[in-house]
This record gives sequence, C-alpha cells and structure tokens, in this order.
Amino acid sequence: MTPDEGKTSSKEYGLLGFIHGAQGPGTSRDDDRVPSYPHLISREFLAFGLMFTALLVISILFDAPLEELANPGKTPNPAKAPWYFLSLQELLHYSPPFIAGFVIPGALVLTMCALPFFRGRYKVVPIGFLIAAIVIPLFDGLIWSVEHSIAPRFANATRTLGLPTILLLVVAALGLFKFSLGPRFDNELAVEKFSRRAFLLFVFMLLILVLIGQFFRGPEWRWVWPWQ
Amino acid sequence: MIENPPGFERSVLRRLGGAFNATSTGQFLATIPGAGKLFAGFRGGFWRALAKDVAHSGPWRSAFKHPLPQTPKEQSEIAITSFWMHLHPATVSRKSLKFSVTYGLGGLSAGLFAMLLITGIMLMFYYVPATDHAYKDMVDLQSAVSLGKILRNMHRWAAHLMVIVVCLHMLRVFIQKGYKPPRQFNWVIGVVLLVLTMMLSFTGYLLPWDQLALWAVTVGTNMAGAIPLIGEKFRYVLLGGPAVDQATLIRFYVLHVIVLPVAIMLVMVFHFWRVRKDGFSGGLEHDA
Repeated sequence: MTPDEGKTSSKEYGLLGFIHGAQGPGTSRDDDRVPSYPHLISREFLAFGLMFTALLVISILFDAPLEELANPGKTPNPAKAPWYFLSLQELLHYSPPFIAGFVIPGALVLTMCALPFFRGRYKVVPIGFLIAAIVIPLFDGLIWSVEHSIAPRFANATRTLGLPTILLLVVAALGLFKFSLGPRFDNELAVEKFSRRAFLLFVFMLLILVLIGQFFRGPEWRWVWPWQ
Repeated sequence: MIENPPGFERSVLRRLGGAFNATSTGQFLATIPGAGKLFAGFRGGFWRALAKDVAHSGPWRSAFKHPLPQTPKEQSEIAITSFWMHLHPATVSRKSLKFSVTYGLGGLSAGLFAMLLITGIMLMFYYVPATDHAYKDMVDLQSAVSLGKILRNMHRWAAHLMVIVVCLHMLRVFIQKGYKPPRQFNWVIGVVLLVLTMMLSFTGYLLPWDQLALWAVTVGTNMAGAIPLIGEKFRYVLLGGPAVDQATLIRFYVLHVIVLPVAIMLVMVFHFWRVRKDGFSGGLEHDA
C-alpha cells in the first residue's frame, strides 16, 4: 500500500513489529507489487481447474495398470522397482549394493540439503560428492562391461567387492584435495557455476538411467529396444 | 424477439437490491488471465446481484469475515482474516506472477496433493488392506463401482504426476537459484517434501496387491538392505518380516493413509508459511 492511500483511509493502523532488512516482503513501495488477492488467487484457481480437467481426461483415456494377483512364488522377469527408483536399480546392476543403494541416494539427499550452505571455496565439497556420484556408476559400468566381454567369470567378483569404486574414490579424494588448495578454486563465481553444472549433470544422469531402466531393460536386465 | 426497454435491467437490479458497480465476484473472475471476456456477463445482471446478496448475507459473513474484498485496503486485510490467504504473502510482485517465472509448479504440487487426498479418502471406502481381500477390492472397484475405475485412475495418475511435478518444481527453483539466502531453509524443507512424496508414492504402490505391487516393493525394499550395519534390520522392520506379506501390507497401508499424509501436510503448511516470510518466487527480491 502506498503512503498516500494510508492518508485517505479512516482506519487507524497499529505498529505490529520491526523486522530486519531494508524492506520486508509485502511492504515494498514500488508499484510493481499487487495484492495476492485477487491476482495470485485467481491464477491458483485457474491452474487447479486446468489440472483437474487434464487429470480427468487422462483418467478417462488411460487405465491404471492392474496385473494378476500377487504371487510370492512367481518372480516376474525382470522385476522392476517403481520408475523413480529405476536409476538406483540400474546402478545396482553394475555397482555394489552399498554404492547403489546407500552411497549415491544418501549423497544426493545430503548434497541437496547442504547445497545452500556451502560458500566460497568450500563449494568443492558438494561438487566432490556429485562428481563422484556421476563418475562412479559410469566407471563401474564401463569396467563391468569390459570384464563381462573379456572375462565374464571375474565380472561379478569385482562388482561385489566394488574394487573400481574404491579405486576411484581414492583418486577423486586426492584430486579434490589438490584442487581445493589450488588457485582454480579461488574464484567463487567460477566455482559456483561449476558446482551448479555438476548438479544439473547429475540430475540429467539420473533421468537417463530412469529412462534406460524403464524402456530398455528386459529379462535378466538385458538391453532391449522398446520395439523388440 | 422482444427487446427489453432501455434501463430495464437497471430497474430489475434495483429491485433485487443490487448495486451498479461491478460485483467483486465478477471482478475476481475477470482477473483470471484470458477469462475476462468469458465472465464478462457475470459482471452485470441477475447473477451479479445474487452473488452480492449471498456475499452480504448473515451465514456467509459468519464464515467469511469480508464479502469478496474490493478496495486495496480490504484486499490487504484479507491476508489477516482469511486462513487460506494467511498462507499466502499479502502482496506479490507482478514479475513473479508471470507464468514463465514459476510455471505454477509449486501450486500444482499442492493441488495434486489435494486431489490425491480427496480421491484417496474415497478409495478408502472400498479398500480393505488384507492380502485375501485387497486385490478383489481393486477388481470390484473397477468393474462394479460407479466411476470406480476413473477414481482409481485419477489417484494413480495424480500420484505419478505429483512425483514428476515436485521434481520439476525443485529443478525450477534450483535453476533460478531460489535456494540462496534467505530461502536456504525452505529449500531443505523442500528436499524433505520430495522424500515424503516418494515415500507416499512407494507405500501406495503395494496396496493393489497385484504382481506389479508385490515385486516393485520387493525390489525397492531390497535396496534398503544395502544400508550398512542396520540395513537388514531396517528392512525387517519395514516389511514386518523377512518378505513382503500381510504384515507389510498393513504397515504400508497405515503409513500411506495416516502417518505420511499427516506428516507431509504439516511440512507443506510450514513450507508455504516460509514462502510468505522469505518472499515469493524467482529469487528476484532478495537475491544475495
């Protein structure tokens, strides 16, 4: 509300309290601000209406899946997790369960929570998490594929031991330590840009893995084209 | 066709006790983007007068302290007197009202949750969480209950959609650097909401008790076994036994219909309140 409007009003205003900062939300004097009612509420109203309509149309056109009665004695091949966990299931295929089931989801949630609090050169910490989380599965997958084609007998052994992962973690930790001391990370803006890109890359990788798990994996988790 | 004499509408309205300025209902509908013309008829005539009378009636005013507010002063006051408005900031910048700033994703997540709550409660009237009952209930719901199939479809698709929309909402906030001061903590709350959304979806996955449900949950909970030290024990507690069975079904049911919805609602209200306190959208106002 502008000061002028306050003058013409007969209502008396009480002072509710002081807040820190130049201007609190809702008290800005620029004319750019409009009351939430009706300007924001009407948009919510419209969005909800459109969403409801879209949902109704989808529900009329497409039926939710319902397979046969659950049977613990009959395992489907492949048995797939809900789609949002398929990236982890895909990782589980060539990484040790400890990595795919614990380290990567844990690192993701932790990194996301910690994201706003790392500043300056300490930004390398979440970057380290993320880069490790991107590179480990790719590296594991590569090693696994190579082993599988050259010496299939040993492929599962290294997967279980997680040797490539451990090797990579050591290299990544050393590299990170060196970088964090180096001049490259003195530029805060550059670090910020880099960490944001690393995060987006990680999200993109998870998306790709979900799509692979959903559409390109068949019996025994073998690669299958969607049209096969 | 007989035309009304000039001034006819005015005289009728006067008799109905209506006033001549556009009613607030008409004004409200006219602010919906692109719908101004559609509701133009609402601004004048019988409906206008009726809406005004209802809005000024005793029962209505006992529930809604203000008739639909019209002046800037009333529109500010409603932020204090209306619970729904209390969850919103009193004013928003025109910039952040633009669709391309938020894509409405946060609001849509909340809207989808509301839809899931309504359809979920309706599904609860038909569903019994017992292994010898649940699947049959699903089949009956689809074949013998009026609109039962659409009800189930809506719940299912809304659930998938909510996971997608919540992820997109987070991506949008991330790209716009919305997690920066002063909104760091609301971002963390957002991460909690994402996890709760996935847990809600995952616990609901088991309830139809078909092959898809059983094995998806088996695969999903096997991953929980990968947690070091406590993994196997955690999985056992989650399933109520060594494998997915009746004990798992009732656990997931209670989590799905009581524990997680109550938790997510409390966190959501806190999330909205923080949006109000920290400033609305886009990292435009308090960018550090």
